Amino acid sequence: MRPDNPYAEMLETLDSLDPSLAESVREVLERADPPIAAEAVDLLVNETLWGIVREESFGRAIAAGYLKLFAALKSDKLTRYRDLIRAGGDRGTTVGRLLAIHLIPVLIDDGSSILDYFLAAVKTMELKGTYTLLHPLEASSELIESGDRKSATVFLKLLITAFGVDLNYNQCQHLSRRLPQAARDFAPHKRYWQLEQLLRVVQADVHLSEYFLNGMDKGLQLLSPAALGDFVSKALEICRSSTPSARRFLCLDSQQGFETFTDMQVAVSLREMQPRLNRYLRARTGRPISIRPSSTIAGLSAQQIGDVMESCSDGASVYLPDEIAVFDHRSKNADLYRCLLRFEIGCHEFGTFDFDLDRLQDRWRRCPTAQPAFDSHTRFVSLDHTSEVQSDLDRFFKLFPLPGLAADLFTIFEHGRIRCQLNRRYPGLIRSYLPILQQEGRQAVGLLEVLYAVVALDLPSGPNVDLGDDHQRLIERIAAEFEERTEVLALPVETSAEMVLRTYRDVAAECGKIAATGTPHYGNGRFKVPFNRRLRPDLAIAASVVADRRAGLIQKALENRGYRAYRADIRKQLEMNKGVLDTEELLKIIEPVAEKSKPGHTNHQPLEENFTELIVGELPGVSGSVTGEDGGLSCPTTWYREWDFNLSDYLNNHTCVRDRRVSGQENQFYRRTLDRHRGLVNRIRYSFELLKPEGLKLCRRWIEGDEFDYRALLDYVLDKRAGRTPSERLYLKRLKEIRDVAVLLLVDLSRSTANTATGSTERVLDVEKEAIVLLSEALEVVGDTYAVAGFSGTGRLGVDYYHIKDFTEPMNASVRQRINAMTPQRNTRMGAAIRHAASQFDSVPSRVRLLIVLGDGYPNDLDYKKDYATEDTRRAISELRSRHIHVHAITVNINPEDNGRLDTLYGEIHHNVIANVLELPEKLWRIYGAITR
Amino acid sequence: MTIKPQADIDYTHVKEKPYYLSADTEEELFRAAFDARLPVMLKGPTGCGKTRFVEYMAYCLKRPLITVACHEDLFASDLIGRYLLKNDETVWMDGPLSRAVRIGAICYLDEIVEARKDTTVVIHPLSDNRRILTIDKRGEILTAHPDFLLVISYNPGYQSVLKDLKQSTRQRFVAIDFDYPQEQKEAEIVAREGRVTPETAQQLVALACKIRRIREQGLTEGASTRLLIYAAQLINRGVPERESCKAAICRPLTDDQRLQETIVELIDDHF
Repeated sequence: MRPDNPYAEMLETLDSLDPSLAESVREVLERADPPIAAEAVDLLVNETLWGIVREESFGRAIAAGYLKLFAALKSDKLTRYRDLIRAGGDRGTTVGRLLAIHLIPVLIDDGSSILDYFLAAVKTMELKGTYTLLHPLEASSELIESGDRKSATVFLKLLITAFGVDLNYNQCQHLSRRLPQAARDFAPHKRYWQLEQLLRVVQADVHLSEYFLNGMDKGLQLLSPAALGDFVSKALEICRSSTPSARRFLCLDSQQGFETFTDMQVAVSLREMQPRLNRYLRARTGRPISIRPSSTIAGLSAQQIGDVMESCSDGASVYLPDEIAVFDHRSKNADLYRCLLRFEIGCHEFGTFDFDLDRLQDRWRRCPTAQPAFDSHTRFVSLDHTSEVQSDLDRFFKLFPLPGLAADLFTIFEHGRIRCQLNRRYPGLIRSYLPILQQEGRQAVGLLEVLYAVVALDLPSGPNVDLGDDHQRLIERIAAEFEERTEVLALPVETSAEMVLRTYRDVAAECGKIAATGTPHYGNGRFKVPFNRRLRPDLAIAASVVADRRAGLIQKALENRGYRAYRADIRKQLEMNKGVLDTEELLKIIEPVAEKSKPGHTNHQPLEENFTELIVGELPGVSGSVTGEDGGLSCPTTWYREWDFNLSDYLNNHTCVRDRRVSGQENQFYRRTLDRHRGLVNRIRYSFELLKPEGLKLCRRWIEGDEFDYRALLDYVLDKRAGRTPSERLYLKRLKEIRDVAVLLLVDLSRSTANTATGSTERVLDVEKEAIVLLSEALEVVGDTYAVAGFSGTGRLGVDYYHIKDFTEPMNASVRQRINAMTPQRNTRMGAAIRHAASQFDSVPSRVRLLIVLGDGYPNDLDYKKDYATEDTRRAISELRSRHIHVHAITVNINPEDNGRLDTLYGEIHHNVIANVLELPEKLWRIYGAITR
Repeated sequence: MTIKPQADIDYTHVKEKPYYLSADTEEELFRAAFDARLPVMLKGPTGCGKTRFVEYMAYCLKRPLITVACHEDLFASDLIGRYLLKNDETVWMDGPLSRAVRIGAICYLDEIVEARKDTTVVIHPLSDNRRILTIDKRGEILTAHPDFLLVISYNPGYQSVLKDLKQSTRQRFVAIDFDYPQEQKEAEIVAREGRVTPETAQQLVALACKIRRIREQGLTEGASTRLLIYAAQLINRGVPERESCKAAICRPLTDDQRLQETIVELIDDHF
């Protein structure tokens, strides 16, 4: 320690006990500004020593606590802190340490009542046991530190109430985790009143809380504050007569609960609308655009997500609000989702993001009555595109003195342009959905908002009390000009930019008059667009930055050859063709440079036949089409898509399946199995013999056929003689009975198959292998085409598919050896394996195609768990069904109570559970016989 | 005794010129194939004009046309013919194929893939340079009339393993691809056949293009031109546009409620 250190002496004792702690304390003290008073430091040291003596971590916590109080300038709280810590420490070091950590946010926060609640909560929970303290106190600190004092207070009251009643150990344990988790799970902007309702429930009966929280997960969190309050009131009323009914009501299991909830529910979440919106989106655009919640827009704060409903799009996705509760009726809120989506798609359909500054410049030059909107700013600077990532739209706005105003004007005109285009192409859409926007737009006040209402929403520009005559006239003039310009058929996005150029000066002047009376200066989006539909060129460029850069380089390469094309057009082509340049398409958008822009620059050369390849070759760091690395292995790989249920969409080329050929191991396993199960083998052979078809079947007395059935002919003659109407059924036909089945047995080789089967010393996989051997014998007898394969792997890029026996391969020694060589591997990415198995059937012309999946659990892999994995596997199975491949699953060694989830995964009638895997050899071939009868 | 073929010729001729708008070079191809008497295979989805095209060509070439709709219970005897009992006598009755072979008609086997494979091989000797039809039951080998032409249609999008054309059958034919016409032409066809205004026809075609994009999501085949014409005809008779489209396009295509929802949304956009 340095001798000139002011704290050296005071920290000396501490230093001798815990040098590293002393060092860190000293560092903080030295940095403190203003410097910490000596008494305070003394206090810190003494208390820390007092704590360390009892337990090291306790001491450290105390030191950290004091330092935080110093940093927050709460010297007045120091004494209180000390007293409370001492009191806690006397009761135990665990309590003491927790208090040392979690008192800090409480003390730093200025409200005095929260401290009282905090202490009361600690006291109540301590009575149940110190094990209850950890998670609740962590949650409480999180809430206070995030600034949500109201929620923190309610949360503490909740703890006091919940732990104040009689609870056993397990219940305490459960609540001490569940309640903090609930507090965290509630959305920040709703947390306070949702916690209040939870408190009400707990006050009535703490055991109802679990049911209430279940109900919240299922959808109660969508209710408005008043509605949720009503719902809970109703539940408490039911609770007075019957607690079980109240429970079912709260968790929406009972009919009454569910109906009450649906009646009250006004909010619609994006999640429930997403599948339908996605289908519409795909049909309308045919492009891989996905729908995402606006909470995933980069750069939004948590508060913004809650408060402001935002919808916008970048090139690749449309962002819609996570939840809409604007109207009183669910159907109206659902309609609003549809309305927002339809108008947002307009940006994609009509080329908002294809704006090109060069193209605007050319158009502006060609315009005969060009009135410059600004004198010194009519330079369209050709900036170096490769240096910064900025969209052409943002560059355009920056040309104006008030970029925010330019952006607002552009929004107005662009929305108007899209409305006109939609009206031309989809009159029904405008008729149904524009009124929703108009209703909102009618409340416009202020110059820009009224202009928006008139131009973008086609509302009549009637007299408005708020606007003066000047503003009124300006709006009418602009509206008329817009009307005139949009009568032509071709309306590229640059039209809106031209309108901005024409109107900026006058609007800026009028806004200047407003500004003189004290409205804020212009930023972006100063005026309120109905439902917050914004244009976000920054997001668009971020989504296509790679394509944009490449487009820029390609543009330069073309210029070198004396040709020009607009960068936006090139970028669009790259995006449509997935990064690949197509010669024919490219030729449509390029033209020779007419004027000599640089001296010494020769005329354009005729383009080489393979000029696209040459250009691509000149680009630095060019990558080819999507190929995956096969990890250095030389085995063939195939890429498959995976279903992401969050997006309700496929992720293309997402998983890579490697075909592996297993080398067999010489062993007597096959023979031994047959010997061991000799009796069973004989039975199998017998029953499968019976399954074999009998050859040609003779059908008599048919209306048509190959030959006359002479017995029927005799009847015919006899009937005629007797005066009766003879039968028409006079023919014979021969039908060939074919049993045409192909089956692929797909075995899960995941790690868990190495576990011992219950009630045996063998591994699960060994028992499965025995079953496979017996099934093979059966299949050889009946003559069905069959194949055996295993799968496992790690991660989406490493799914291994092991060929044990192919369809065309006969059963021979090497196949038997391969069966023996099957060993447990790693994870279970079932979706990819099932899709790959389906492709094996392509070589098989059989009428009936069956895939049997033999596994011991659920799909599980990296990033592939629970609902996601279940949904992808289900999707893969339904893909197979649409290709007429039946899927049947046999799950072994699993708890039968988990059946529910297996039902969801495979469908109720398409799977069997064999709890005791030892029964598998006996059952597998029976199941097979039953399926293929 | 056999029924005289002459009586057939009259009723099998196409009397009125059918309306057909050429998409590409299919007419020239067909004429060339007819001149060389090469069998023709028309490939394409349902409702895109294959049958109409054959009628049109039969009219242009002034040949009689005999159509057989193939199905799974079609036996060889249905095509070739059988003995019937008439008034205590057995009488040989020619099937449509034999009739066509005798009188030199164009024999059009629609959706050949539906028929059983052992029936399909009957046409093999007719579709190579032998041009003969063997009638086992009569012990007759029928040589085809010089003007006889065999035409089959086939929908490759069927995707059934069982129902696919064998190579030995496929490689006997000259194939012409059919698909939904290009938008402008399709609008013209719909306007004419459906007797609606060009604007309405264009909206119907735009709607169909969007529905065809749903194809990969669960609709096995998109909206065919035929359905658009039905919708147009309903509109022509005064049924409101949305209702016509729902009845003629949405409900026939699919029973899946979610897909129907999406199609209805698209219809509501356009009308």
